[in-house]
Amino acid sequence: MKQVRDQVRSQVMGQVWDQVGVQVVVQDVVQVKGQVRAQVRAQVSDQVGDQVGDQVRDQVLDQTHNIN
Amino acid sequence: MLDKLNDEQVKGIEVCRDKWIKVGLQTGPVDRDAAIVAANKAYKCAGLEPPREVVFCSSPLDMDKKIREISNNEHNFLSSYGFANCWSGWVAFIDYFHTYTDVKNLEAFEGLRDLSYNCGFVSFFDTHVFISERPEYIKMDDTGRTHCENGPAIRYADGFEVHIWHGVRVPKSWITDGPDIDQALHNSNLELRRVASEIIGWAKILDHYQAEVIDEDADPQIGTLLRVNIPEVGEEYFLKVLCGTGRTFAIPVPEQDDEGKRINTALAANAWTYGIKPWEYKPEVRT
Repeated sequence: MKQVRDQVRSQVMGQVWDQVGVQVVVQDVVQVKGQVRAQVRAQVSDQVGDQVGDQVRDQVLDQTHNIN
Repeated sequence: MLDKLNDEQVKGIEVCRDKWIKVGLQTGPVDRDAAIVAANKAYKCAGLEPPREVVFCSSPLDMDKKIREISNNEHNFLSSYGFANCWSGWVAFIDYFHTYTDVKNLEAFEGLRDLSYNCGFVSFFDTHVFISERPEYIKMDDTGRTHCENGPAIRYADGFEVHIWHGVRVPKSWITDGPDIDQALHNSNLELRRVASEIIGWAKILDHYQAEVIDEDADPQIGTLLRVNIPEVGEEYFLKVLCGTGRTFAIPVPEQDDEGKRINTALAANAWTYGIKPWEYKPEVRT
């Protein structure tokens, strides 16, 4: 059994990220991408990822770190 | 080419954000048929064959157990988690451009998008994909931090749970029984020490360490100024005060006010908490 996390997640996200990059005019990249990054990506991460995802992961770590 | 956002696109930012926060905080059982379709789509988007087997797990902890079993301990949850509905910040970012702009060639992300809609945590392997259920519930305080003062803030249906105090993960016993004062105040983690003090309440801690009264005002709402020596912390000053709701609080105050003048009365300490002078807080009637 081999991990395919890089292909399924990282490479796909990298590919679509590049598409956004090349299709948003360079001089306004900071404004448009920055606005969406700050108001969508960052807020979703702050309000959900930090509050739920990280806490659950750390709890699993605490309960399993002695197994191996 | 996209060079600026029109009014509709600007409005879409908030709509998109709220949608993805809702997706990330979604609770309750996953739709397993939809999850299988989404997983296969994610593999297809990555140019891979669909996984031979979809393994549903009752929680991330159960996922860890199943990954270890099937991989003969070669992998586990923490070494292999790849994705989760609650970690969809970047998917939300791409979804914004996909939904509200004419940026093209973003279809590849649709598999991950659909996984977010239909799964909890996901671990991807060539032959297997492991999909966790979402929590049974998530509790938060009024500022949006995960929090519950009388039980787990996050709980899965199989009993896996996380105890959290205003966004800080704490031992279960701190919520069920309360922290032990001596142990809590000697915790090497400063944030946990702060949280423990908050859970216990400074009023109890001051009683425990037999704080010395410096000044006691006749009005309990102005309070009592106390000095206490806390092991490994040192000498600290507190104002113990009765609030309008009938509860007693202890508020840390400095030894000196903002002008460097020693705070030696409860009135001066209380006034300091409001950023005003003692005579502004309680005007004296002079004849």
